[in-house]
Order: sequence, then structure tokens, then C-alpha cells
Amino acid sequence: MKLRTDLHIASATDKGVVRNFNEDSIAVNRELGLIVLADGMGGYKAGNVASNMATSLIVDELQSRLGHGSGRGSLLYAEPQKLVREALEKTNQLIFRTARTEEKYQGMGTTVVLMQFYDNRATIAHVGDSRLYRWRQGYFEILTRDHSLLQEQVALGMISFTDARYSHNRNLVTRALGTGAEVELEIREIDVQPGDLYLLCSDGLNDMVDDFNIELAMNELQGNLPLMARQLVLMANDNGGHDNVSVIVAQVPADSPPGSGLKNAFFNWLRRIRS
Amino acid sequence: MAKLVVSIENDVQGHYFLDKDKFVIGRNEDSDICLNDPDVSKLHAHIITIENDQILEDMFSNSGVRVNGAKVIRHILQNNDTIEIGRFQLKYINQRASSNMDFDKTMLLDVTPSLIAELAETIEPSASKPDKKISISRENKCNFPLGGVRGIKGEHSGQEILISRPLKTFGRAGQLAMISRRPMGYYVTHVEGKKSTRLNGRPIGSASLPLQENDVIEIANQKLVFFLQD
Repeated sequence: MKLRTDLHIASATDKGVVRNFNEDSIAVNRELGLIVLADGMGGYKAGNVASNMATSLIVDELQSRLGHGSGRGSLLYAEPQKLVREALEKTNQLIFRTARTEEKYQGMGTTVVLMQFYDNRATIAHVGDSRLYRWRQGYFEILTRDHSLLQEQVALGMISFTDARYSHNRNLVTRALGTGAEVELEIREIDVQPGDLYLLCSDGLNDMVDDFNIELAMNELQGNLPLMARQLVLMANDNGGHDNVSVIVAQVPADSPPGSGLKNAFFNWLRRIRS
Repeated sequence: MAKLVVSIENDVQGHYFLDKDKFVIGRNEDSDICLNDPDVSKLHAHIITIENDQILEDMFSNSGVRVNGAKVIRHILQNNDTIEIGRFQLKYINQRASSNMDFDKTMLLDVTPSLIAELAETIEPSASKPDKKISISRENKCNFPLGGVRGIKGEHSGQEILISRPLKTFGRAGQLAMISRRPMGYYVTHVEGKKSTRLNGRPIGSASLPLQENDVIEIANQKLVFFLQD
């Protein structure tokens, strides 16, 4: 259980240059090793209601299931995906119900991407076009596949990878949380290694900043995660900031063997003076 | 609604609204746009509408299809594109396809096209790693002149380093400064290390400061002078 409490996490969210409201929401719960990002959609401010409901309900739900006490690990170890799946399904229903009962919220919904760390693994889940990227020992890749029309067109070879940038379908998602009684989730487990760096982001980032430059910021600014998060948002806004932009970065310390920080510091010092 | 204005050497022949999911262009009389020219194949090209996009495809024609002078097989139409088929020019007019802004707001597809449902079956189950990443950002060009630094002490001594990407770091692990390239100019920011990055001898703390020509940046054991290219 050491790892998740040792995570370094930073985040930033901004309404961008063009929009009046920020309909993205983010939540970080270090205690649970949980990071959640949602990009809402809907009428006047309803998108914000949906994304806010998503992040807070997911955190609440996992919090209540995992509890605060020492026994929190057992459930996670037994059925990590089930736990996250149930939390997302419940959240979906609550947003859907709200959208149906209040007229001003009709049709609202949200994307979501989350990571739940536990020991040397993590459960990752997403719905819609919010993304999760991983930087591992210099190797940068995307771990999610957008649930968007454009992604499906690209996957099918209807539109080439390079032509995709000229498409006007970039923001049509094929799945969302809260828009139906049922939701098709994408959930899986991944291993987590010391030194890993994860990035959750809304499409306001990857629509405005090339993967190539997202990677650059992740590669160069690892010594200052809050700066990395701010820089990513800044780059999106410098490129036009057409949409809300949100990021959460989480770094697994390079040195996280069990043992006290003091002991590690001592060995690091020893290593330094011997080299 | 999007439309095509058909002309021959600026002489307008007709207007056609793209009001069908599949719009056929060719010499056949039952084409949606019938172009009477021996250079036009019977079924020459078609335009498929998929939500906000209209995609032009050459249907294995003999003489080919050009858009804005370049030969294309498949092309996502943009406002004011000029399509050339045989001796005809077809101008694509679609205001909505010019202002990208309209499409930046995330929206759920109201009715998922049956096409996608069919296609979804052919796509691998989601548990596997995504096979393709789509990098589709539209970066603005920096109009500001290109700049860089000249090393006068330390690792880069005697070198000139141009900074053309949005950021570059200097120093060494644990003691780093960032120079960022923004639309309005270059900035220096301290990234990490107990000892602050210095600009013209002064510690910059956590601020991002704009750089002027000949500014001196100090980080770790390096001293760098900022310059702009003419």
C-alpha cells in the first residue's frame, strides 16, 4: 500500500481562451490513490453539473467502499475492476436520473477517465474522448482509445491518421456517462513501475497540442509536476485554447522500495559519495 | 447546408446542395451531378457525409480528381475547396466547415449511425492495447522570430542552440531551467533545484520572465546568452 500514498500528483484546469465556462472537472484523492477527470457536455452550464457529479460521485463511491481504515486494500486486491465498474455504473445512473428529472439538465453527460492505483498495479477506466497517456523510461504512449466517431473512422481506415486533423468530427463522442440507463465502460488493469508518469487529460489538450509536444513537456519537466501541469495547459491556450483544458499528472517515485524515507535518503547519499 | 458550385472556366453551370449521405458525381445521367465530358468517368467520384465531415472519394476514375490543384484519392472537404473533374470546377461552400470552433465543443452523437454500429463489430474488443493513436492537434504557428541561446560557460560553451519547440530545458538533473517559446516571445522559468535560476544576475524564483536579446541566464554551472534570429 506504500506506493499509492507516495504518488506525486499535480493538476491544472482552465476554461481555455474561447469558452466562457469550464465544464471539465477533476478530482484527486491521495488516500485512495485515485485520480479522475471528466469533460462535461450539455446545455447552459449543465455540462459542468454532469462532470462535477461524475468526479465527486466516483470518489465518494470508492471512498465508501474502500473505507478509511486498514482493511481498505482487501477489496481492491480481490476484485479491483469490479469495484471501479460498479462505482461508474452507479454514477452513470445518478447522472442519467438527474438529467431526466430536471429539464435544464436534459441530455447532459460527461466523458470520464480515471486511474485507481493499488500497490504495483492500477485499474484504468474511460468513457468518451478523455485520454490517459503514459511515459515509462522514455517511452511515451497512449493507453486509452477515444470513444469518438473520428477514432472509429481512423481505426477502420476510412480516414487516414494524417487526414484526421482536417476532420470536423473531432468532438463527437460515441459514448458518455449519464446519457443512458446503461453505459459501455472500458476498464482494464495495468502494471505500474517505479518512475512511471501518467497523464489524464481532456480533449482540450490533445486537440490543441501535438502528442509530440505533450511528450516533450512530460519528458523535460519531471522535476516539477505542478509546472508540468501548468505548462501543458499553457501550451493548449497558446495554440488557441478552443476548448476547456484539464490535466492530472501522477508520478510513481523512481525509488519506492518499502522502507523509511530516511533510510532511502541515507542509501542515496551513500550511493552519491561512492560514485 | 453545404453546396457545390459547378463551373467551367468561371462560367457557372449550376448549384447543387449536398443533401444526401452519398452524393454521386459522374457522366451517368442518374448521377447527382451529371458532368457531360468524355474525360469524366461514368461513376467518377462521390461525396460521403459523416456527421460534420464530407469526404470526397475518387471512384477509380480514368482522369482522376484534383482538389486545389493536388491529386486526391480521398479528401475531407474544407470550405472553399476547388474540386477539378475533367474540364469542370466544383467549388465546395460550407461555412460550418470553415470555422473549426463550432466543432470544438464535445458532443454526444445523438443517433449513432448504423454504420458505426456495424463497424464496431469489426473493431477489436477494447481490452487490447489501442493500435493507433490519433494525433490531430492544430497548432498555431509562432509568428515571433526564432530565438535561442549561446553558451558562454559550462556544457554548452561556444555553442548556439536554437529553440524551435515549445520548450527546452537547460542545466542538469536536479538543477534545471526551462526556456519556453510562446506566441508572444520566449520566457525563462525555474524548474527544479534549490538554487534559483538567475536572469541577468538576479534569482527569478517561481516567476516566468520574458527574455530580451542578450539576457544572461544562469543555471547549475551554465551561463547562456539569449538571442533572436534576424
